[in-house]
Amino acid sequence: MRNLFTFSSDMKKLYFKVGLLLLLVGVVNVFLSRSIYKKITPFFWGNQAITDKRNYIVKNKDDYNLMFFGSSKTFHQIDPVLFDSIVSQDMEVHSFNYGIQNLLPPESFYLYENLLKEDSLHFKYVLMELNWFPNIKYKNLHTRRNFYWLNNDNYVYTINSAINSRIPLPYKVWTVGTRSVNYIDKTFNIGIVNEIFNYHAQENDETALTLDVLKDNKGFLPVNRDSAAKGENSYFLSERYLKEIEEVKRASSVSFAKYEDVETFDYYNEVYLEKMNHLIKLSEDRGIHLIFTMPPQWKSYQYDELIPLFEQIPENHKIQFADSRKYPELFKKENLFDADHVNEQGSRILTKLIAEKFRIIVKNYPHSQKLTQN
Amino acid sequence: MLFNSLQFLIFFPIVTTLYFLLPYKYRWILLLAASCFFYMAFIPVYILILAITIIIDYFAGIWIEESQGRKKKRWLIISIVSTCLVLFIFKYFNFFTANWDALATFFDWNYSIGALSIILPIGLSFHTFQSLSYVIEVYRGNQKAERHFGIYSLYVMFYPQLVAGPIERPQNILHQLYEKHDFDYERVKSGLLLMAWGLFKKVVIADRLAVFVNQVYNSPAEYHGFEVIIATFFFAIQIYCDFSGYSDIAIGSAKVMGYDLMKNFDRPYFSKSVSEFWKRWHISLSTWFRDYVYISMGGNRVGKWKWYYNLFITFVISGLWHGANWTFIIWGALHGFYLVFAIISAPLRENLNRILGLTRTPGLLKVLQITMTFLLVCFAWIFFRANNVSDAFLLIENMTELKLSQLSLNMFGTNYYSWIMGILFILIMEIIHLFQRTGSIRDYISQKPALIRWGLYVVFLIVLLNFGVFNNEEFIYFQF
Repeated sequence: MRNLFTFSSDMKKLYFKVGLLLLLVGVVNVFLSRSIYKKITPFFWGNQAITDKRNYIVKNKDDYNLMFFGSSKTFHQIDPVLFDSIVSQDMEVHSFNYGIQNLLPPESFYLYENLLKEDSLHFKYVLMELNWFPNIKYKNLHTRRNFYWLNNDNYVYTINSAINSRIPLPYKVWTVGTRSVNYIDKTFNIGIVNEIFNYHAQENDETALTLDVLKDNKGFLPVNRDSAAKGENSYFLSERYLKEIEEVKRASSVSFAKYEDVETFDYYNEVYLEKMNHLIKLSEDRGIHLIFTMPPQWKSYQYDELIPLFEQIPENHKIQFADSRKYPELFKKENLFDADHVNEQGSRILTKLIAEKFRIIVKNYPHSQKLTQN
Repeated sequence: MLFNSLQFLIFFPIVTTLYFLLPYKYRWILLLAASCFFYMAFIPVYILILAITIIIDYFAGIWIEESQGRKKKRWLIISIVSTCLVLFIFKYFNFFTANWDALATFFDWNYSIGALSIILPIGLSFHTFQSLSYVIEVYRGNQKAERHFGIYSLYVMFYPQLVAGPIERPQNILHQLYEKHDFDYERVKSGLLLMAWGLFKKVVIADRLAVFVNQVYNSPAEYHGFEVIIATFFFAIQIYCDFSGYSDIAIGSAKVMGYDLMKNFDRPYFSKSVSEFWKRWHISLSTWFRDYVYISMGGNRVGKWKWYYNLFITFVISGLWHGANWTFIIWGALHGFYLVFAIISAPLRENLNRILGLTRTPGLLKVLQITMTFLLVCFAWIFFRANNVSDAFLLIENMTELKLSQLSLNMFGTNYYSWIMGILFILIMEIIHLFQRTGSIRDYISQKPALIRWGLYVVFLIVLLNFGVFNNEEFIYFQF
């Protein structure tokens, strides 16, 4: 077993040179990133829908004073027209739905911060969806959607947040691993030119969202209409649908159990909470009342992560409708499109719920009061 | 596992480092385990199919060697039939039944065979052919039967060439698996550079062009004239960069560990005839067909018509090897036709060249021959790439509708930056190809001062990383 696990001088030389070469490549890439790529890519270049909604809202920012911000659970579930009609009993409100498929933290946090900082958007209220980080599918790993927002701070925050979370170990490892890969992608500009080409080509193409969605529906699109437009109507008859309905029943019971035991939660993700407090403060500095919304979740670990976190948020900054004991209608088959989204009928129920809760917050905490008051 | 994947980026340095750290008598174990892991990264259970092939041909090799006369031949036939049976079931059964059913419907027979619901194991045709070459060489007495089951398994499974070749011969690779390969700095460097070059061709050129090729070939009715011509030209480059890129990574990664795999491509689009093209394109496969099919049928040492027949049939089989689809069969038949026609028309073409005065301008003649060969090969690629035969004929029909207005930046949509960039990189690649006529570019770079050398490496890696398309596109030849 002589020579076992001993590196020859030639091997050491090669590893040293490869390391040095990678270091040089890294330095040049950082330089290219800061001097070229950052300047030619706007903060909102994640995908076409993000760009469309951003361009629309910037162009029409004086027409709206409230924004819903989040994933498809916002995009497909909250109807601003209905919301405005309910809330208008108390105040004049013009809301816009800035929901984008898969726009989850920390990407949503990044985008929101930049909409305030770069675009100087000023709403009176923002209702931001609270959710857990998405699990990235392997096939989507190297797409720009996963790295365009990943600056140093966001990377550190994501890793810290995942490590400090109570999500199952495999998800934790997967999140840390995939985000680290994304960070390497970003640092070494891997595939960046192709993504920039795609983005600019997209800019020249027709928009992803039509004007009737942006203007008439105020950014809202019920999931069944979206699905019909994509020719997915047969979905209702599919095995996947039936399976997901079973999943909903399970999710409902998970929600029930978790909220029954809410007193027993004796921890929360400090890193995540710190970020939320930062966003509340940032919004407050711009005269915005930020309210986090928590839609129904489907996994036990999501409740474990989000319920204790939600408990730490001041009352005037949160609206929850994930508790199946209080909102059983959001877990009923007739109101659901799939396991993740309510249908058009469900969206009306959900919008009314949010509107009513929003009215209570506004009544109890008028905008002129200190926003973080409990 | 894909060579252009993150897993391979982790897998390769770990395996290579362990390989050189282990005493050489244990290295085959490491390589075999690594090869199993590499293969199982696709669909784990399919390793059992590979295992069956390995067991059959391992014992067949020994029994062939130990037998004489008809018994020897019988073992060979048993081995070939059983190995090909696996290939037939997984690759050709559904094609066969679909055609049988079509025939039954045509003749109004009330009989049909059901299709199998199976996925083709990655690289099945490649390792089947590598196994076959072993038993045939043992039968011919050119190779001793391998008694070490582990080494024989490694011969079939050696991960650099497991899923898409080069299809090795036992005489070239088996003895290398017994040799001690020390860490050779220059050799490792050369292997790594070859791998980087292969990756460049795959991710910077092939995967970029694939977007436009797929666009046209997946919607053949929507594209006409120059759009089809350019897409076909792009496909010719795409498939070359994809497959030769794979071969470079395979040869380079084997080279790093001290193994020499056979050359698979030799600037094929610079061939002056289709016959020369096949000496420079997928060399390991074309020589396999030459040695085991064409020569076995009598090759050219037969009557004229039988010779033409041998040539034509060899290429039809080669087409079928590529895929269970009539498009591949037509592609093979076209090449067979090109070759037969080239033999028949040789005197006529020589006369024509003399009359036109082209023999006095060999440079011009060479350019014309290269161009003509490239056009013929491109025409055949239409069948190779088209999703079905009717698509291929539709594309050919549409191709004739030439209009200058089709030549616009937006001919493939608004992402024209990407295909313009693709053309730029094709030019760079061809300049390097021309340069390599007189010697190896890697040797040329190695002789330059350190500053220039390192500068070139950094620029190359920056281009590879920044301009590559990293969406883990599979290599085209994996499907075969």
